[in-house]
Amino acid sequence: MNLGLSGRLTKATIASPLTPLFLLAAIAMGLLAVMTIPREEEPQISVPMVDIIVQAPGLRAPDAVELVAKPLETIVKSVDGVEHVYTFADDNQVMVTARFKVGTDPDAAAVRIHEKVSANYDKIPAGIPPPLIQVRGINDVPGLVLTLSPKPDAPGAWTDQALYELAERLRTEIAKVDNVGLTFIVGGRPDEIRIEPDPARMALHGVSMAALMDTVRQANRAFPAGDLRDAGQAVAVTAGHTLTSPADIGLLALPSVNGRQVYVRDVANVIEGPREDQARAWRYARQGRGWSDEPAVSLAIAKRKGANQVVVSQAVLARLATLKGALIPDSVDVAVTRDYGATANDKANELLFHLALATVSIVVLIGFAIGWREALVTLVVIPTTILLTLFASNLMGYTINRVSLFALIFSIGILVDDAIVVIENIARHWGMNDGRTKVDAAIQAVAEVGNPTVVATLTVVTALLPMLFVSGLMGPYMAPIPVNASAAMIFSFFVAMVIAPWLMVRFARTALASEHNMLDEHAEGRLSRLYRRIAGRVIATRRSAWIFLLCVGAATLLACAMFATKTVTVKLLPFDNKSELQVVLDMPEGTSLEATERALTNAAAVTRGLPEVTALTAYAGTASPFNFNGLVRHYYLRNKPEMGDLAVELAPKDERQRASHAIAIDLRKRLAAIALPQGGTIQVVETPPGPPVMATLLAEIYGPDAATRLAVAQQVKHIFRSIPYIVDTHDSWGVPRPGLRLVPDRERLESLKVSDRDVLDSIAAAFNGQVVGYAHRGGGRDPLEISVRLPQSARVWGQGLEGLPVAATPGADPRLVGLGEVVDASSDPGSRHIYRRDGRAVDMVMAELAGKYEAPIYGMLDVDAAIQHHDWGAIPTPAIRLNGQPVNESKPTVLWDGEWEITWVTFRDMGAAFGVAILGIYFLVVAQFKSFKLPLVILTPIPLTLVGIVIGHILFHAPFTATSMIGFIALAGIIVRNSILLVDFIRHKQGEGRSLRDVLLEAGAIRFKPILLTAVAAMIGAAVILTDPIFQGLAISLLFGLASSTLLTVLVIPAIYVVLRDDNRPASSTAHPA
Amino acid sequence: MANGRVLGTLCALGGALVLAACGAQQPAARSAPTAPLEGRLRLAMQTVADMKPVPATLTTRDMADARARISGVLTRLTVKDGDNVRQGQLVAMVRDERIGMETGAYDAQVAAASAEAARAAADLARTQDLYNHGVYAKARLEQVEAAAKVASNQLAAARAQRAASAELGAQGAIYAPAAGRVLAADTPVGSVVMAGQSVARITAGPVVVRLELPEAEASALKLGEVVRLNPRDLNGAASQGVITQIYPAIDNGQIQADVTAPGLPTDLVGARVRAMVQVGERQALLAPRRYIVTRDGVDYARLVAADGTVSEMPVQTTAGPSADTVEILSGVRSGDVLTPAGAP
Repeated sequence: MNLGLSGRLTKATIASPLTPLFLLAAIAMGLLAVMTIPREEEPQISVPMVDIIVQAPGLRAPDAVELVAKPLETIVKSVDGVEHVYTFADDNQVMVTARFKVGTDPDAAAVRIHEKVSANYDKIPAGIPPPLIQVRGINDVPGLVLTLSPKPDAPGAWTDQALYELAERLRTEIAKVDNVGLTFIVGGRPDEIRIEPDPARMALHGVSMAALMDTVRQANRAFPAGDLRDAGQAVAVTAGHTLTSPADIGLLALPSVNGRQVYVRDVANVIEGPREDQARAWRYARQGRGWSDEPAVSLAIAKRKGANQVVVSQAVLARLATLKGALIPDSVDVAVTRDYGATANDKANELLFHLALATVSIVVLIGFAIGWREALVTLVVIPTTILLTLFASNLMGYTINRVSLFALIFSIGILVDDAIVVIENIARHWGMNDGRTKVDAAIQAVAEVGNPTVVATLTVVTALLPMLFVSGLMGPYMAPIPVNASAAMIFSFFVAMVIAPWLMVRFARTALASEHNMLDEHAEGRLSRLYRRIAGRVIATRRSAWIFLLCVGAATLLACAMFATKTVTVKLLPFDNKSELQVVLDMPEGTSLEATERALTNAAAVTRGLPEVTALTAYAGTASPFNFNGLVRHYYLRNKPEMGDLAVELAPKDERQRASHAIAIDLRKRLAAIALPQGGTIQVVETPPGPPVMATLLAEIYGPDAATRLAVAQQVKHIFRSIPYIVDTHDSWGVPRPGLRLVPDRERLESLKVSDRDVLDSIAAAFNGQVVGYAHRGGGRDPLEISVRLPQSARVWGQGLEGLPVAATPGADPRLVGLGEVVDASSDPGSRHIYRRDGRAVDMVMAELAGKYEAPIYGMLDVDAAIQHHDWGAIPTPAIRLNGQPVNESKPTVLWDGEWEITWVTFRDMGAAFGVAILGIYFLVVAQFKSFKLPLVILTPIPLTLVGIVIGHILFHAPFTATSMIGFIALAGIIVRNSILLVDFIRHKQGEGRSLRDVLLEAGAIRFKPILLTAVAAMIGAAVILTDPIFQGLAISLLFGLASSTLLTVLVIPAIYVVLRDDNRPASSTAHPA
Repeated sequence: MANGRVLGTLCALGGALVLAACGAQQPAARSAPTAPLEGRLRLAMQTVADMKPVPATLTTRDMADARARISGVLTRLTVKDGDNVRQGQLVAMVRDERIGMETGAYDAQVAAASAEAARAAADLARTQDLYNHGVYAKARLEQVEAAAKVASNQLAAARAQRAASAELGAQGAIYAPAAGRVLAADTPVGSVVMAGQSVARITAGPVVVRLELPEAEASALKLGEVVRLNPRDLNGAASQGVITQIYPAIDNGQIQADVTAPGLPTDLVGARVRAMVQVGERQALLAPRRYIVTRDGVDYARLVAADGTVSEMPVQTTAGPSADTVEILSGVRSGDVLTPAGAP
């Protein structure tokens, strides 16, 4: 007989001594891969963002946009690989961010931007300093955060300054660990020597600001000055010395216009103390029944590109353990507030456990269903395939993460099919007892099922592989699924053809005898009899077949209608159950640090009321160490005093009942009770399950000019607030920051004969402060910054500051002129934030969804309806766009972005992938069956999966997510195999002259059990995933979709045959022997 | 019976245990304390004086110089720095040798003139006698009389000249122009001084604190207004004074005013004094110092919430109008209630 590819393969390997060696090698390579492959919780999405920050001193935001932002945008847009260009413009500063296409190498991105900007340095406008270019990629996200805080009631006074110093030393120690990347410290204040000029005393003694600055700067100069000869030696000369203490500085002599002898300490307070940063961090930790409240400093540690987070985390923690007691005293508590290595490891171990569980369950199923010998073979085959897949995955550069492990878990149920089919057939042939040797029988058995097995494997691969081409941020996120599942299928084919027969031959106790009930052509069980009864009634007449088909069709349409009626809601990806939450506080611009701290303290008090919270760290005026979400939303730039956030730590998953999403919803309701001033917002931010976006619901408003845009945007914000399940609404334009403008009065300057430059230089020095050098203390101690700065308590525009001497009148009898004499102070509110995307000015309204609906599509529909009904007054009703910026900006437009953009890109691409998959499967089946109409019959069960999918989602109250869609697509490949086998069987039997109904019933009866078996195996694989919040959708799709389509396929295909090809011969009532 | 007693004892024990357990539930560390009612302060914006720090000098109303009237050599200096002098007291002597010699020359001229006058007088006596005897004519007598008159007038002239020259020499005496204290008298004896050169600087008039204000603030100065002075610059002598004079002239864009206060020290003349002048009023949030706690360089205010719990909020403070009040710049609002530090 014609052996075909499979038969030849088996023939070559079944008797070869190399086969067991291949088996052992495969297992060894796989185990090595499992131990060395990097582990992560989520797949890494490389979307490099390059921030170009340009200071535009003195320019208001609209002017800065014209002078700096627009030319810079055109330069950046010309760089290869840039997908979007965002501009954030404020008074005195512009930031242009270039976002590159997903998958771009961060180094390449950085080099291209640097090159383009450097090439255009000659075009920098006068007065604008060179830009600061920062590249941020996924590898800069700190995977480990250590927070230092004093233990409550610990001896010794641990101030945030002392903690900062400790953190600095710890940082240098940690940097010695291999593969530690970027590290930074949040919170705490360094010590400095601060010279606080006292305007009253400076006026008294006749010392101007410039004189003070100059004296201190020159006194702190030291430099090498060549060498001299002395007693036959060459002696190195150093000139000057650096100041070492406040006393030294206090005794410096200053020039006074009165001609007197004045010292620095006469006109200024020189103190050594913590720098007065406008930022503070503190930590609350649960202590028994109460809470401790201590200052805190966080050290954030990132890994280098390509390193394994688990290994780096463990190495850092090991190093930390050696430092406890030595560098870190016992009175300081080092809490690990974030450890992505540990969570990745836990997740990977949990999933590997589920993998093993699924394997064992399937082996037991096969043991009961077919036989224990077959189960034993399966026990070897499944792990071998999985290990080979992991090895291949490692080679291709993928990591072990949630997505790849889930791909493997659901593919277990499928890949076992190849082996089962082969094993079964071999056993069947051996059971025929027709005199062939074991080996020959095996080879022929393999050859018989070879081709269908190849086709079946290829259909699954064809269904899954197009998913690799989903674009955007979801692409890399989902890429492990098609890659791992396809690799698993291909390996399973080879394992089924090479290793399974070899194992069968080794494990056979007797050459020909069968042990358990074999699937004999003529043997049928109870299931088959049940099948015959039901199917017989369905295909009894043509009419009954038609009715059945119509009912099934109606059920499918009804299932689809469930989406329209919102019985089954849609979501991109559900929230995962994590152990961290973030509360982000934005007070209106102009809020002082203390007022922000007060609001944050109130928010922390509310948060502490949740029973699942174990600790929280509060950051005012600075940002908590950012995560991937913070990277995309630029949270690391939050350093203004009106900004604050809380990093909330929850108890580990197994110690609490509620999932983090439910906790977040509860927290949001509780936080709504806190009164914030007009323009202040407080948001609860959860780690997004998939790719992060600026906000879940994001409306971008375009318009002809700033006033129209703002008016429309404010109305849209109002509409957002009116919808109950839209929460955390905030905007991008903000509130004008209160300002004070000091303008030198020309006439006064003329009459006093004082120059502008002296006045403005003095203002710059006094108000901005300046670091004039460092005091080196030697002995390994940190040098202290020496700075001339007004203390916070003096930073009030009043008589005190107005008396600051800023210049000296010329002439023989000079006197000092006070600031208040020569400047006019006026209130000058700042500009609103300006945001631009890809060259167009935009105002954004952002929000989250919680409660009744959680997918942006529902919010969008309700807001669109509200926009149509709203009274817009003089402004034309804005047009609504779903994708792509408007070409015509003369009319106001609302563009939906945020999670919607990823949703529609993903579903569009997956829909296209599905279309391609169906086409591919069609081609394969045409190639197999050499007919054009038959493959259409084979493809009909695919829509039948929807019935089960929808029922499953309703039962579990689960939304239909991207993973459900993946399940739907994967199912297409899986169930096609059943109909192929059925149709194949029918075709073979049709030639024997029996009635169509007899053939159909026999085919169904015989194939029903193996079809059911493979379906149940796949369902077990899926059932193991049901508990994961994100991939529950996949599990439900597979579980229920398989159930419904398996049961319906075995009835629908015969019904179609009857409808199309009825030969009007009834089924013979001969009962077959049991 | 016994069973009942046992049961009763057990119940009692159980009850005691339960009560003990309830009592043993101590509140954990750092649970929110509640504040007592007394000592609470409701914050409100208050009107405070807007004080402007003004540089001032401790000086006397006038400053007198004892100047040499003639050029010469300082031969005597009878005072030193810090001495008190009366008006008209001799402080120094300047001698010009040249004037002495001139006086000598005039002396000689006086002698010559007096000799001449004696001779003319003798002539006159002789001529008178002879006239009386009828020897000479009247004309001759008158001639000799005239000559005698001329000679005696010449003598008077020579004497007057001599007296003037002596007077010029006497101008070498330098007298104190006013009663006061000598601030500086450091010209060494024997040095050459020019006419008009100051040999000693003497304070004149009462001690005042002289303010210098930019002319734009001139309207803030009113006679009789109270001005605060920094006692540390005055050795604790005074902490406030009253404006007694405002000078009408604007010098280099600044206006000057004098502040007097009782007990100003006279031995710190020229010292720079910090003064504060009220230039208006402003609103400020004030609190007594005992309501503010300072920990690790950060100030905290103890806020009482609506439900009575006390929490500490960081605040930014600056010095208040008096030593025991502070002005709160941010962190608490008007209407918040504070409780003093140290209250349970």
